[in-house]
Amino acid sequence: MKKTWAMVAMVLVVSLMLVVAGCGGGAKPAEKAPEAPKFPTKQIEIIVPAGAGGGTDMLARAMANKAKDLLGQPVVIVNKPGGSGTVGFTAGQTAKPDGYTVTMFFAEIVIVPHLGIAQADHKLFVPIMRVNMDPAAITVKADAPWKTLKEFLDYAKANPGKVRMGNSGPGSIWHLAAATVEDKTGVKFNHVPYGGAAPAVTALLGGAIEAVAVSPAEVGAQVASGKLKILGVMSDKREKAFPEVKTFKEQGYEVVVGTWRGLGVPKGTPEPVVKILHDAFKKAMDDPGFIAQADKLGLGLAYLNAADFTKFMDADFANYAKLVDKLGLKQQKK
Amino acid sequence: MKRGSIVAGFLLIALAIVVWIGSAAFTADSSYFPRAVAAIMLGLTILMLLENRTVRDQVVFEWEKFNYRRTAIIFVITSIYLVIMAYVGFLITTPICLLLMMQVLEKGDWKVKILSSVITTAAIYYVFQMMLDVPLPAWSF
Amino acid sequence: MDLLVHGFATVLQPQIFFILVAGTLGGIIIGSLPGLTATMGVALLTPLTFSLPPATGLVMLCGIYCGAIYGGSISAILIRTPGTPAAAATVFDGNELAKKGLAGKALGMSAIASCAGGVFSALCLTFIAPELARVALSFSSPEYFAMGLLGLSIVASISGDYVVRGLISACIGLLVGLVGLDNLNGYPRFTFGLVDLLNGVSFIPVLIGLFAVSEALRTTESMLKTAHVDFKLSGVLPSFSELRGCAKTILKSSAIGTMIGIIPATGGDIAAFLAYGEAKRSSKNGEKFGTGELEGVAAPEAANNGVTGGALIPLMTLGIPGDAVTAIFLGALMLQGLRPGPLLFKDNAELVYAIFAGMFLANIIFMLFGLFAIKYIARVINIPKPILTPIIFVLCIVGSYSINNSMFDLLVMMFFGVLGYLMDKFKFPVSPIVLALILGPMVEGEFRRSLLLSSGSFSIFFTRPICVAILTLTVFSVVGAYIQQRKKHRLLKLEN
Repeated sequence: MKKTWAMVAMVLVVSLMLVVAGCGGGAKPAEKAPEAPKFPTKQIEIIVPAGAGGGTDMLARAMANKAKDLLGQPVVIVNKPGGSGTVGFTAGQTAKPDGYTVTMFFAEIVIVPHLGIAQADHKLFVPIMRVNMDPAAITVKADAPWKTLKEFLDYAKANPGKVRMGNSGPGSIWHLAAATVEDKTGVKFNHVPYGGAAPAVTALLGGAIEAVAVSPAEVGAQVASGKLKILGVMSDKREKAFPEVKTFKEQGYEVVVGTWRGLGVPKGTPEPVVKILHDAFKKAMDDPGFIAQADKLGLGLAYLNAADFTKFMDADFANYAKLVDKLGLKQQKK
Repeated sequence: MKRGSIVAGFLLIALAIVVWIGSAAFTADSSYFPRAVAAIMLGLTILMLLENRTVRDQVVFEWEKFNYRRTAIIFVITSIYLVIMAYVGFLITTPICLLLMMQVLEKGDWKVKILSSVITTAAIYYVFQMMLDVPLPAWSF
Repeated sequence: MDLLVHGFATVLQPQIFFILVAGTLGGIIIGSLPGLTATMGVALLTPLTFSLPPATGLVMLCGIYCGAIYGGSISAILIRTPGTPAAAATVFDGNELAKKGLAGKALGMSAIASCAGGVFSALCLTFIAPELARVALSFSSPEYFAMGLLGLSIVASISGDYVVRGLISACIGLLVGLVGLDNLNGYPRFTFGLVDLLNGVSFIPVLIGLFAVSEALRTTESMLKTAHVDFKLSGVLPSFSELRGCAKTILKSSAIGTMIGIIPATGGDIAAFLAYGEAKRSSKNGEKFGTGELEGVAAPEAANNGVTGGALIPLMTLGIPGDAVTAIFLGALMLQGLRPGPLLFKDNAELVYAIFAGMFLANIIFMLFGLFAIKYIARVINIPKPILTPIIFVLCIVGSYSINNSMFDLLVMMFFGVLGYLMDKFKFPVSPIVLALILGPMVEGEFRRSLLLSSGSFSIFFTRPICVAILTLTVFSVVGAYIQQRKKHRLLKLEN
């Protein structure tokens, strides 16, 4: 037994020495770093605050696939799902601001702070760029009695709380999209949260609910096969994939809501590094192969540079603050 | 067994009470289910304690025979490994940790141990990091 | 039929076939490693298919999916570590068989039952998919709630001799399942202000902790005593008569698995537990379940591979992804410019049948591999415990970490490892925790969602035929278990 303990002690000492040596070795290059943006010299991680296989994940993977050649270093995806993205947002904003941890955040980052449940904050990120934007849309069964958005909303107005509107989770962007419609038109829905867009669409197909407020891409297959129909999209212009579907604006309702995804690094990341990342990811975004992939996935590409993206997020942030307040979605912690 | 059940019983009753009180602050919808579960658990625990009175006292484990010391050492090594790995990375800490544990469990035969710990580390690293791009904790200095 | 033959011809082209074999073998490795689930395997390898022709890429994903679901059973049997959640129920009897030195029989049974389940579901997928797809749509919240209850009702039967303690364990599982944001209103419950708990306690670290870490801790106590057992038996395959004895169970479990697979938002883990419960209820040797019965391996394994084909049914016919894996399949199909749904059968029939053929062949491939490789895989058990146990610890840690790249999950794993270890000491069965953790959130969430749908009226549970049928089944199952228990008690008293 004594011998064992001696061995344990020895190994511990050796590993400690390694730690110390590691600190010393690592500290030197950091001192020189500011002027020489020799970046990147090791693999870059993209935090995806959602599970593997979803839209955000696919987008990030497709981008990483292109960006790794441009940056000359591996770009790996780290999925950190949970709490409407909060887990990943928080991990991303508290990461070391050296540019090696990029986060792909999305609309919920300007919503969850208002819900009073988490410390996610888009101001803790230096945005790199916005990548994608998808509008919300109201979709009903193809054999539903409403032919136009107006008929649907008139029915909802006449029968407050009777139209069951599925969304992808409480406080999710699609929940707030439906709430925005309520806010702007004075109707009252019965919001039914599901564990994502797909289960909500399934419930609609099965007739458990009357309508869903998700993106056109998420109902694309069922619309194409004639089982569902889209009444209107909440954006400025019609969707490329569904040119015959009118926007809310065209039908006389001032409602523009959508989800978006963008890239950012923690605050404090050196300017030149952000620029290198921006240039690489922008180039990846312009790659025809990537554009084709995004197209097939039904993800609308909508580039915004860092400055505009910041303004855009600030506006959304203020907007949702009012809406969450109005809806009483804030979780009071007693 | 009897004494163990009583200890466990009291812990469970405490847990049920904590859950009951903890869910008081929840919005009404969110509190029904936890409270129902807490109540059922309380009932079951009391049932268990009552049943326990009629059961003959069986010995579950004897402390003298129970080699808790080695289990505790392994547990401590694993815990230290978890903490150090977060900073030093997977590749360095893993073989050391493996060697240590193997040595605690059975002394001697260094060749086999070194070989197996190095091969294990390399194999895991290869499959996770190289083949599948699943990142493992890396050197973070 | 012509199309199916054509599909097989496509897949049997050397290049595609090679990729299918590689995918299946890769899937087995991924599945057998704790923490790398079928979902993760498919997600991680999907980018590889970007550059492959559609048929080749999708057939590879089929191979990974089927292989991974089967692979989960290997580690469940050999080292009591379910490689995927779907293999959680395989641990009960599979690992007991391995401890008796019958690892070979358990592995063989798992390979055969998995293949049978997979082929059964592939048959359903190929020939009656559109008819079955309607089932998927007839399931709404009340039905999910009822099914969750039915699943929970088997707690008593997986608790062994300690039913009350098993029920208490289930309550603990239900409480653990409560942690995190409330699915219906976003209220954070029992999160203690920790961001890591917002999404609830991660399931896989709990699973690994309760089963694998606790077992590894137990092993360290008695290391020297059991180090040298004769494991010559471990290469023996299940005999023909043993297979025949399990045939009914396999068939029934395959059907259960396929049905559960069709129902969206359910998966291999639930199917395996339900099939295990049913097999235990109806088997002659029901009482011996949990002590190393081959039927106890056959049932969950046939069921979880039955899910594979079943889950593809709503995807291919309706464009609805039934679970996480098929959601990724949907993405992969769309990346190839394809839209699942009825139109797919019309516009891309060749590809559809190539996928069907790929599903059949993947199941055959992993079975052949499983049977031939048993001799070598089973040797894991012959590795001396002082070497193997530390390796298991490291595998548990790596697996728990990589599922969410989270150090917090490692703490969760350690906590549940110690909890499982202590619970075993005090004769509390741990498997009800796992079952309750899977089903609890479903039962609560769907119950409340049902009431949302009905604007608060409870009649929604009693006016829908499928829901009423499942609820009735649940009542029967509970009453049956109670009567069985009483009988057992009386017998015990008589003996005393």
